[in-house]
Amino acid sequence: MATTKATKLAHTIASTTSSTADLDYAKTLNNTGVTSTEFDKLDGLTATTDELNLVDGSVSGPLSHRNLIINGDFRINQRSATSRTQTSSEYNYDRWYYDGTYLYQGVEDKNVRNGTFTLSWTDSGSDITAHYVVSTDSSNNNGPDSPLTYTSVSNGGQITVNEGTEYSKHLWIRFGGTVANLSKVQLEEGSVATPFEHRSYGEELELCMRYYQSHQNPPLCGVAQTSTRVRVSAGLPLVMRTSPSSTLTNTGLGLMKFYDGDTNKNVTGIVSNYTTAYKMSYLLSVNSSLAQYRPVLCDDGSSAKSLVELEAEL
Amino acid sequence: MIIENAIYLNDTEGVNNSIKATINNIEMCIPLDSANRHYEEIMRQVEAGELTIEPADTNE
Repeated sequence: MATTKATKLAHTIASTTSSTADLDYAKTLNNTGVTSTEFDKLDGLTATTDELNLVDGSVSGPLSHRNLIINGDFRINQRSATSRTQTSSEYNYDRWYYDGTYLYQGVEDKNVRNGTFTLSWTDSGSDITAHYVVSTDSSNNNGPDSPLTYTSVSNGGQITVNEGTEYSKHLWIRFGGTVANLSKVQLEEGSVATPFEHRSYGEELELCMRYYQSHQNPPLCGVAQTSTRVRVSAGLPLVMRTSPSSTLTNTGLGLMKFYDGDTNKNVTGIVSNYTTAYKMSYLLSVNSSLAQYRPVLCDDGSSAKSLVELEAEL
Repeated sequence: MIIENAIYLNDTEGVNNSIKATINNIEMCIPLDSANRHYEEIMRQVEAGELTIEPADTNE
């Protein structure tokens, strides 16, 4: 990469007002590699060392999608949490679990391979601490509540993963201190901390939706199996990590309704659950008679706010 | 994770296909999937003798 840039710079120099000495200098760089000082001499760049590391190959990780942490800048908040620490022993902001003391994020096993990783973050205060653990137990004790032994890691410090086989273990990171001051968390391959990778909002949201989805007035359709039961399904916009847990809010209040072409009936409970990583699917009871065998669809009306939450977190 | 009122749900053929439970004061339907963290914790508590899952209500 550095050679290519030096060559381009040499061409640029040759096409303008370069001297023989300039060209000789560029050729030398082309053959021997380039330091940050030399780059600045050549084209007046004010590139940082991190940026130069990216172009000259010192960073072994990819040039894009470097960050294994999802929602590292806390932009995504599908649960509408009031803070990162709103509820203990739960996920609040997307992908971030709070146990009452630490803020955790697990990197899914399918994204963890052996090698050296670098963890970095910003702290608008001055008391953030970080720890990590590689979890190879696939049966139990694999989540943030588990009694695993964590190892301290500094800002810009390295994490080595060599347990088990590749793609077989979760990598857990946790932060202590005033976690409201934490931002731009990045975990990347290699031994160099590069600038935080700003992904688009849509891309970050899609990454989060592998683990949690929220569907207000969900697009459930199906059939009235009996006069008081509806069998309904809807495909998910993104495949989830595994079969999710379902929470249907407001069903007890009757705010989720199904329409059979003639009348709306309120949902009163869940009879069975057929939800998978690809679809939400339920057998629900309703509070009075629908026309049996008619198609039905979820029709909450303009003011109702029934909600289906799907959770497949680590 | 505080788990209460765990009961199996049946499919239309009478086979258990999920668990309904109150977890941290929120009612959820949990699939019988060992990769699901709620199911994993339910099974851990069952094996530890801390939780019992009631059989499905066949009158539902």
